[in-house]
Amino acid sequence: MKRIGLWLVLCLGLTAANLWAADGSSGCGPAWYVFKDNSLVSSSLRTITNGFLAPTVTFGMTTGTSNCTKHSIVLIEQQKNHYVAVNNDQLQSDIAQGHGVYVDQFTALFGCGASETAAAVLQRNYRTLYAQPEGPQAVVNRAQLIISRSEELAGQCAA
Amino acid sequence: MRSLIFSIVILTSLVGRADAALFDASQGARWHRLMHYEHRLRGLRSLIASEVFFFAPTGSTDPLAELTASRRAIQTGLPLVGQEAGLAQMDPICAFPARARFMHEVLGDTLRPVVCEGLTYWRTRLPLRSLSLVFASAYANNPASLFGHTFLKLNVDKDKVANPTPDYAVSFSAVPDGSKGFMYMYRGLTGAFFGVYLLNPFYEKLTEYAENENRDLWEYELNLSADQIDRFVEHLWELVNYANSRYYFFDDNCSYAILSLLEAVVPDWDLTSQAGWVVLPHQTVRIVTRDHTKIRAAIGHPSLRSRFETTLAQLDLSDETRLRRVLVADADVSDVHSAPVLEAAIKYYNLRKTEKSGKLRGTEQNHYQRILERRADLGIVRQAPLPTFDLGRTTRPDIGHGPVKVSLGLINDGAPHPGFGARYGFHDLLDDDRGFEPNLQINYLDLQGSANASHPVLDRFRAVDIVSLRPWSALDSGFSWKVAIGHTNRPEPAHSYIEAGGGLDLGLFGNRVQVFTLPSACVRQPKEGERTALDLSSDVGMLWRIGPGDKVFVRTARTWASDHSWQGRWHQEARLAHSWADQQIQVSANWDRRWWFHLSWGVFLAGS
Repeated sequence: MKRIGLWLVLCLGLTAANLWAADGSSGCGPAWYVFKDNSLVSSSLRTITNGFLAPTVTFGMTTGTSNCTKHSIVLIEQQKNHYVAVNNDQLQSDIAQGHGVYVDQFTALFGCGASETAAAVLQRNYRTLYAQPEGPQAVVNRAQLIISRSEELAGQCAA
Repeated sequence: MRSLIFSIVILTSLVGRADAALFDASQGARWHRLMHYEHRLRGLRSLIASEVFFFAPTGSTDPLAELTASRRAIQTGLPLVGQEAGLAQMDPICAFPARARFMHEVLGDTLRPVVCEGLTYWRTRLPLRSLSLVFASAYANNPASLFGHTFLKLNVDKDKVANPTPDYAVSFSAVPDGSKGFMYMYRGLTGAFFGVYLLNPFYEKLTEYAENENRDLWEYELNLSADQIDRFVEHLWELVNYANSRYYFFDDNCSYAILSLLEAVVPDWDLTSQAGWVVLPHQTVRIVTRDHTKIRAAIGHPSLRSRFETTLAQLDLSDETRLRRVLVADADVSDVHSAPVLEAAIKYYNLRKTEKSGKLRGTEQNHYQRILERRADLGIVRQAPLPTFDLGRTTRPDIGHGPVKVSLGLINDGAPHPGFGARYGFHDLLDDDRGFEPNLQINYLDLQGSANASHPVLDRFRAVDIVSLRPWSALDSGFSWKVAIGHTNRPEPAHSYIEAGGGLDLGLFGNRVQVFTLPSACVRQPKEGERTALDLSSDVGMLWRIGPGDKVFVRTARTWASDHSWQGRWHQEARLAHSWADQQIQVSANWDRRWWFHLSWGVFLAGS
């Protein structure tokens, strides 16, 4: 059993090294205590709800400020990346359609609020946003560039 | 000497009063609810199982000992919390801020000035304007989700955060241990899993439930004061960091934990005592919303499937034809100018993804990308209003009937005699649909009996009887299924059984009529000592929804039994039900080698 756990830890570590590197918490809270194992396996199992395992669940999730702060408040600087990582498909659909809950929430993270204009700007730039190579970081960076350069959105979006 | 005696008397009186105040505080509702104490079969015990949550060795069962030990720890700063559990260490005031507040507000203690970095960050990132109770409707493909799910939504006050911040959600979830199938169910039923409080961005829950599992969400904004919300934030910190509990699917589950959390924050709200033996998410919504002063607003979040069905319903005939052409794998979409058609196609492919573990393959994925690009190229369609998706009121769980049903009636199987019925839960296909998934039946602990000349007789007991009908269409190849476990004395011969089946359901006239076939296999145990038999049944039926409270059900089945040389036998059944204001009249006619008829009047109860 320990060998399997170690294998899982290594695999998770290799496949998501950059993400796990941000996980600076020593591990605390009774979900860790349940497994009595301060391992990455505990970290992923901790987030199962109704049998559903969320993807890349601890992506930028810790505060990194003090001990025993292992909770799922997303770091401010990681909010956009985390949002796209979790909702990529839904966001892509909404941007293509020019409206929807997900594009509204996404543009709100840029300080635009639930803006039809912001959704329309992203829609016009859909092919740029989803050009290769894809990935949450690429989408966020391109969206940032598009929003900051948009004359329509000048003064409307804060971040 | 006199002054010494006088001082001793005063001192003793003061100590006595202080002891009495401590004792009174330890027995009060606010302390009990903060520590989640409950009266169980083995006496008073906290729901919280983690030792790190308590300062006193007997803290989980002794409120006075725990209050005394907690007070000492908060006053002295020792012991640091987490030390004995090998966790990161924290001053007791920082670890348990809600408890510290209790010491200050109820016992009048002055708190030490302590810098709590993590807690401060927590409060800064979660300045809430309100809380909402959220109900996710049933998910028929996961037994653990058949009854729905409840969690709390933390509505962040966007004016009080320096940076844009999403809303959050807190839920109580089991931490499975990798067991599957029967062991998963067994361990879930017997408390072998631990449950923990998890905090996630609300958009994670929206995606998980509304997009990936096609479950509608209903959000009820709670009427809480700013002080109550502050207490919630503090207590949530305590639970997320230090609390776990045994998770039992039927009672100490997600919904019960949410009720317990709300009571800890608002001790005047008497919620958990109304929950009953089996705690259903539907029921907990009704418990909270029964008093309308607790609720500010109700908002629906339609699932992907609901939005797709709404979009389809809004297409005219020519757009429906265009949609079918667009959905052909290598169709050219560059000349499609209809935004509704393209958006329906986008939703269709997103639904396909939910059936294929989130991924389309090959030509489907390429075609989907072309549709997305075409829709984006079309731009904003100014002349058309933005589509709206309104769940309406009919699926709101707070308007549904109670899960328990008791009935009295008349049975005629050649001679008339009284009949009775009692069902502990939950919802039958013939019950009023309002507040429930329209095509899902979940009955459990359901017995029917009759009274002959001398004594009552059990006719039938259903431990569980689930039917999930999913209408098939050209765009949605739904799979319908059923499972039943029980014992029947009528029709003779008496036997116990486990039955499972699956098949097809066709929705006609806007799904008001469902015609289904659910062939099944049944393992039947006749009288003790006789061999177990296998029955194979064809099963064809029709459910006609005349209105939400008026249903007609007709079913015919032919069964081939292994212990009767596979000779076939017919069963026929017809039922008519009229429901109104938590009551129901039902008439049924049945044929299984002979006729028998049943007329009953039933009442739905809250079950607590």
